[in-house]
Amino acid sequence: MVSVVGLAIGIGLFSGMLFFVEASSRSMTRRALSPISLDMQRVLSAPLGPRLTLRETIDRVGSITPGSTVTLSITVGNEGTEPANDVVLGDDLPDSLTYVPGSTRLDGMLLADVAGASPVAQGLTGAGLTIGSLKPGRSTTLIYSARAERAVEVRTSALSARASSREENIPIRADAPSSMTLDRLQSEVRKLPGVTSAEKFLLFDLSGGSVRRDRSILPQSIRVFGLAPAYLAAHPSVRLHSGRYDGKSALVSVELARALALVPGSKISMTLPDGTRTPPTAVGGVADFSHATQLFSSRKSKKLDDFLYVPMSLVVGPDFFERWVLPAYARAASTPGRITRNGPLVELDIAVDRSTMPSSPSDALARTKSVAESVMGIAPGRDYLIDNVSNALAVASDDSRTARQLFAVLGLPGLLLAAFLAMYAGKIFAEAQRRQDGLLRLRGADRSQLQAIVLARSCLLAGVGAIAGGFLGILAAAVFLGRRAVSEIPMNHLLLTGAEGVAIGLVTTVAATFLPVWHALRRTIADELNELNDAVPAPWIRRLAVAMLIIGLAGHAIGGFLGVFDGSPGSVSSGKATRLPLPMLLFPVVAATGAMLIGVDCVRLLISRRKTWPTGFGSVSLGLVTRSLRRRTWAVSFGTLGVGLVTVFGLGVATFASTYDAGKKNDSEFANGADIRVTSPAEERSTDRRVIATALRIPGVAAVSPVVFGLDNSVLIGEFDQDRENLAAIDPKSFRRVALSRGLSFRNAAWDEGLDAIQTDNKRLFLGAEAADNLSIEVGDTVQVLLARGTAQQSLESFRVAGVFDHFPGFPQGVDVVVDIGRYEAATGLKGADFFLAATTRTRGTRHADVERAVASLQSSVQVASRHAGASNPFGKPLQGLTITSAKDAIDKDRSSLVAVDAHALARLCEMFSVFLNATCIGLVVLGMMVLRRREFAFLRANGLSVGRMSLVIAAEAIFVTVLGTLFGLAVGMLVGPQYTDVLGPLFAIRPVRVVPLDSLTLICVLSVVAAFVSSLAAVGALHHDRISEYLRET
Amino acid sequence: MMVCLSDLSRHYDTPAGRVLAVDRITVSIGSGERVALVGPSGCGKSTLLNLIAGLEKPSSGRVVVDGVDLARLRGRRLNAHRRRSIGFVFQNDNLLPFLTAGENVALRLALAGRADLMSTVTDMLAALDLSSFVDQLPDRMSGGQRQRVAIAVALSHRPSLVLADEPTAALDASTSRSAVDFLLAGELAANATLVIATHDLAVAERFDSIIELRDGRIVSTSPDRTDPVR
Repeated sequence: MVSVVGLAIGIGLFSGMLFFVEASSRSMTRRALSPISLDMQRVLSAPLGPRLTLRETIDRVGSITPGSTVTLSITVGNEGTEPANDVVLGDDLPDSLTYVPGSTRLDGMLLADVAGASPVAQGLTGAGLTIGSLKPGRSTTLIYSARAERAVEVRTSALSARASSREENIPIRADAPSSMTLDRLQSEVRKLPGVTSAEKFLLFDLSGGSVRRDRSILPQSIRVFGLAPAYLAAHPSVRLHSGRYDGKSALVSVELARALALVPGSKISMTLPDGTRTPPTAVGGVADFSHATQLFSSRKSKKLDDFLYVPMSLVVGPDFFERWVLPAYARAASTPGRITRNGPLVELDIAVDRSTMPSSPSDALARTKSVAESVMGIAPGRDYLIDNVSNALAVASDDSRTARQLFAVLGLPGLLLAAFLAMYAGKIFAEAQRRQDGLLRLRGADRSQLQAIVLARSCLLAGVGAIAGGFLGILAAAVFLGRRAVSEIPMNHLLLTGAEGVAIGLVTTVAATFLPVWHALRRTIADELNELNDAVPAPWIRRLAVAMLIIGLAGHAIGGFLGVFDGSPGSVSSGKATRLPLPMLLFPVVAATGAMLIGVDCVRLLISRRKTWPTGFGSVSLGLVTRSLRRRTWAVSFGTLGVGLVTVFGLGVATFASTYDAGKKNDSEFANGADIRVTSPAEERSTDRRVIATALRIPGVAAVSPVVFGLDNSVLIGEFDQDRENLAAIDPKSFRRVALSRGLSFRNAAWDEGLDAIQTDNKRLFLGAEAADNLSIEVGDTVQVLLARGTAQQSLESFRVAGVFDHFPGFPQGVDVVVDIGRYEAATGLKGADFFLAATTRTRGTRHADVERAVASLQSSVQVASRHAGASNPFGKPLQGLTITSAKDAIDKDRSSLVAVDAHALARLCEMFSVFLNATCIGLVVLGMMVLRRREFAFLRANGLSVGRMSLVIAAEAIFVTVLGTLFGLAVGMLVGPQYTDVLGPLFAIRPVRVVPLDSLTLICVLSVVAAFVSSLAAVGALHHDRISEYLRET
Repeated sequence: MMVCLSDLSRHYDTPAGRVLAVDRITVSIGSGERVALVGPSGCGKSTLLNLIAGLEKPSSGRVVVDGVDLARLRGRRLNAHRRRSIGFVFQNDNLLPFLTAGENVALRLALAGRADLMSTVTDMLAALDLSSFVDQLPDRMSGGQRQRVAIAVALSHRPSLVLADEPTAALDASTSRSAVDFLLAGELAANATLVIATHDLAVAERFDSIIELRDGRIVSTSPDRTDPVR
């Protein structure tokens, strides 16, 4: 019974962890989807409308004999109303066809080969042939020949001609269906199942001097969006400041409104690239676009995460955009000699139905991919799709798989312990049965018959244990994650996970139960009938233990040397999940098992040293305990090993979970930068930072530090190269008071020492390690930095590099250059700040409580200030519209789906299973004592030993085993603990510091001793009820 | 030690019905008397020994040992009685396998409250011609040797009552004779009351008197006991 319970708990731990991950799936899916502002973007490759058509033909298809020649014909046409410029034709020959030199003709004219190769597939990249401009309604045909080198099957689907132009710079494929207009595409996409909305998104950048109000001309470049009111309604991150937007008027950014003194009702006009000027357009409203991620997210595939805010922006209706902007660009692009900057971006932003999204990330991914395929199925071959939602779900799905593998590996010790307990139970069973089996064999029972009986018994035992374990696992997941989370697991996943846990558990434990008995049956009948001998481990076990320890430690060390723990974090936008070196988790398991085996063998050798007691037996209880422990070391070894392994793995997993939790907290604090982060609204970023900083010093806030920061807001110029970088300007004096810099340092100096350097000399700066490496800049070098890049105040300044850092707190997007804010202001004249970091005053309570209180006070102040905007209010104007965040918000913004796995609950689950496993192991030790030694106890009772003293003997042995096992477990746990947590490295920006959960540890130790007592008492209870005379007569 | 059994019965309830193991037995065994209980298997010999030892409680009747009714002894007093006054010999040796022969004896002495040095124990075993086994664990000894050590353990604390339940059942004739010699001739049990259960008449005949049991009842005694003590 106890062994079944042990198996059930061990397998329960394993399957519990699998169910845990399954039940976390919905949270992972939810977390993956929540930060995505645009589900899918179908970007038109021909924003000005399709012009080019391309046809390719071959004169023979099917089987072609070696040496035969075929002729390929490519015709490109312009069906648009404007000329197509810089038309490029390219083609790659099907396999086994070789270009026939000198065979290319363009509209009948022979073309020279390029370096012996076809002009349409020239060079390493097969760049193609530029044929110049193509007037509207005209076409041109290129013909060339190819020879078959061997017998080949040619199909038209193998033809791969492509054409592009300055206006359609994404190459079109031969025989692609015609592209659709945006209106028709929108209408078709909206009809697709799984799509909730499809809105037009048009974007174009106008150069400086293009926008004016009356005679005021905006000197900066400006971004113009074409958006319907419905689009903005669906994305509330655009905060309307005043007025409204109806799609017929313009909506301008607060920065633009300030620059041209625009208010609702003002009129603006734009000068378009071809020189035409739009009629005056009324300003409908003023809005803060600085949080509108869907408008300013980079469309570059490698930088989709980047938020590239353009302060001077305005929104007009799509109709206005299509009527004025696109034709003007088309005319400009077609005009020879006129250089246009970036072309317009025209896309359809598609939202998928999230309300019916499956809970599992992989199922949700299948759903969104299916929607994406449908979207691309409409007029395929012309446009491309940015499938943000599928990318995020692919990461979540990978994260889910990683989590599943991670927890399966973490749950593996549970399985091994179940196997160990099964083996222990099998050994006890084998010893209890040995005389009976010996007699059966003496009476002619065949060994295979006995083995069959044993196998059947093992299967029954393991089967019951495994099924009970499966149920226990799901129960544990329900208890620790909530019933709802478990009920949301799809039935097929539930059954599959359950079957997986039960099947693996079954196989492992059947083998573990069967092997000792099978081994026992290999002994001779005479051995079988003899009394129990103390088992000495075979030499190969010792060798194996040493090898396991060496392999475990060396494997981990080599992994560390090779840098497998230094993986880079994943990126949701690029669809790349974090990869953890999970196989490395096996090394601590192996090392711990080896160390425990060696330790237990040492104890066995130590306590079994021959000893005589010349003074007599001594105290009855003590004499019995000491001699029993010394001479029955296999029982002590097994028990110690079991309790020790449970403690090691319980401690390991609990440490793993605590470190993970602490690492995430540490990372979020690092991302937030300080207790509190206050971000100014766009319209207030030019307000003198001192005014806002003073306003922020409310009770509960101890210090405030202003920070100027922007993506690509500087150019760093080194001796050899230069690059655009993210620059931060900080006030070193206040920054050191507020920044959460625990454990951080510069490569060449301590944290405070480094900050002293720029505080005392503001002509110094810090560089991020990547920027320094890329530009080959070293500490002490002099560099030039273009501050406030792209603004009217930009200024080129000279600095000396004071230090290089790997991590700088407060910049989740990454910072490359850090300068003194005073120097920045002196050079640029800019007095504002983009955000402020604040430290809370310390009270006797926890820091968390201090931060919560200060955040609540600040939020309340901001709300009051915003409500009384314009009127007099107790907090003053500077607090209006501020966004206040703490580290908790940073955790919420963490885009890794792994964060959705509740590490606290996981730690509690492991803790519970460790306690139960320990209790079961101890119970098994005591039960083993009862089963194998009942005649001894009966004899002692018959000779007058009281039940009380017998309890003392049983409890003393059980406690000895428990304490020894626990101590060993703790020692080995400390040895392999760092190996567990190193695996987490790639998940964090800051290397996690190992956290040993003392509360869990204490609980495991105390409850283990309690379990020893309780099982001893239960054993004594059983002794009371035994008819001792029966045991004394047993033969 | 004088043992008086008065109208003593012991039954067991089994699924097949009630089994009467001892049926209204009345008999007295004098101090220092050596009695053999004989009879076929299942006649109640072992149960009678267990009742005399206080290992089982009678269903009815009384067991009076040296004037003390065992029913009045409970817990610590009954344990103390067994520790100090009774020596058991069983069909199988029941030696503790993790103790040497010497330690098994020393343990029995310690249980009886005697803190003898191991040298004393060694001397005792030497006197019983068992000196070569003092430091041997039981599983290194033969069956006969183990049984002799078991008898030494039972007698080591000089009990006033020795109860032996088929001590020779698993031994061959020669070893059996040697073991009984060991039990009867030893100085340690010289004044003890000795009750042995056996189905071996050759063994029984070496005792002062024989009580024959069948179906839980006394069917004959030799010599005749016509005046049982009540």
